[in-house]
Amino acid sequence: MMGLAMRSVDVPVVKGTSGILTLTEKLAYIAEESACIRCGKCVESCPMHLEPTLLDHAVRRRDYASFEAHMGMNCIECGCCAYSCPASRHLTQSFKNGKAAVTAERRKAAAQAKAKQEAK
Amino acid sequence: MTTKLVVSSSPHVHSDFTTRRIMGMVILSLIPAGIIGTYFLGLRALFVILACIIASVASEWAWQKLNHRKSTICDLSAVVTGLLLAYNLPPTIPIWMAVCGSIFAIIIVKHFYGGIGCNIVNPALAARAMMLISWPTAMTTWSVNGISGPTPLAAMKAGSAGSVSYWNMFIGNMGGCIGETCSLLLILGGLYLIWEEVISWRIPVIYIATTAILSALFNHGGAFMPCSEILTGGLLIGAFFMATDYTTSPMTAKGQYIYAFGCGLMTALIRTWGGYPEGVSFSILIMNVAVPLIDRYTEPRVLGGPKSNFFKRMGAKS
Repeated sequence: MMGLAMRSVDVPVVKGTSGILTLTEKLAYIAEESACIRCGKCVESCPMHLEPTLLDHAVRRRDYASFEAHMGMNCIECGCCAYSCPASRHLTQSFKNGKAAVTAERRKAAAQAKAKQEAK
Repeated sequence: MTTKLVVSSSPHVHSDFTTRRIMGMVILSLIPAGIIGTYFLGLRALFVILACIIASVASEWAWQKLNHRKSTICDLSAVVTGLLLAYNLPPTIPIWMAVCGSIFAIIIVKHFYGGIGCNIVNPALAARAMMLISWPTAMTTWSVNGISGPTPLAAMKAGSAGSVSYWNMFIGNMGGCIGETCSLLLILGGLYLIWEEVISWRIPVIYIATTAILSALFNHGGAFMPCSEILTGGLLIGAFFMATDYTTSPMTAKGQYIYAFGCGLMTALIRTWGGYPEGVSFSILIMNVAVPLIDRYTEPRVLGGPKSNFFKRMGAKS
């Protein structure tokens, strides 16, 4: 569930490779998203007790403050929510983006603070 | 997708539980109750059901066509709305009223708020409430086998014990709406949904238990009758099929307990002291509106973190 998609078959198998999945044509498709029906299956499945649907809405709004307030940075990207979502929403993908955006913001803020201190 | 190489984010597998499949299972579990309703209440019930379904699907299709949106009639949610609305109508209702109710449910309650997943109250129940207020006589005229009479709940309200035996209540041979009378098949349908994990047991069980216990304690009907509380009126269809509507019920387990208890409390209060003999639709509607608040209060704690982010955010704003 957490594996990376490989772009070509030339990728070597290394020590850290725990498995290779080859999916059939039927399995390897990007499901079309439909509207969230608030069923709560993602909330039930999340091992970190997050509320994936709220986090997804936050990322879509680019409201990263809300993403952080709902503890989005604790997402372990296991993919259980996206697996169970009846509306096939790309939840894990959304959280990867959200976490990257928050990390980038934090790095920027840290750099600014550092620059300020050096200017003093 | 024309290419065979798909590079996407994990997870690369997906459960076969889709919105359409969920709605399909709900429809499947509702069909037997409708058949029995038609059997006891006459063939006209079937026409009302068909009219509601056709009007719901057609108005959803037309609305999305007019607004140049992608049509969502294939997810079957409009069929479920139409079916549930029809099950909440008396079989003698004029067809045009049923059609008006369906259009109200789909366009005003569902699509004005943004379509599937965004409506704040259950469309079928809101439409029923609208119809009950607009056409009170047509909505409360009951007849069984051609003889009109009060429903057992109305009789209880009037202070008499009623003449319907428990067995007739159980199999649905009594006055009432099309789909709410046959307790046996509604319970079986609900159990099927719980078995298939479409709904959880929390909302129906807590809701039914709260209503039965509280209205018995409130001495509704002048006697201790928790069984007839459960078997009459719309409690079973409400608890299994309406209160559990995903969009308008809380997402967390704790929230669902609070919501179901609230529904039960409101139903018992309305049945005992309210102006209407039946309180299920209004109590679910009232609790629907409370759902966003319940969801905020019952946000799960992450890593033993702050008790509720809700209080933190409230504090930050003031």
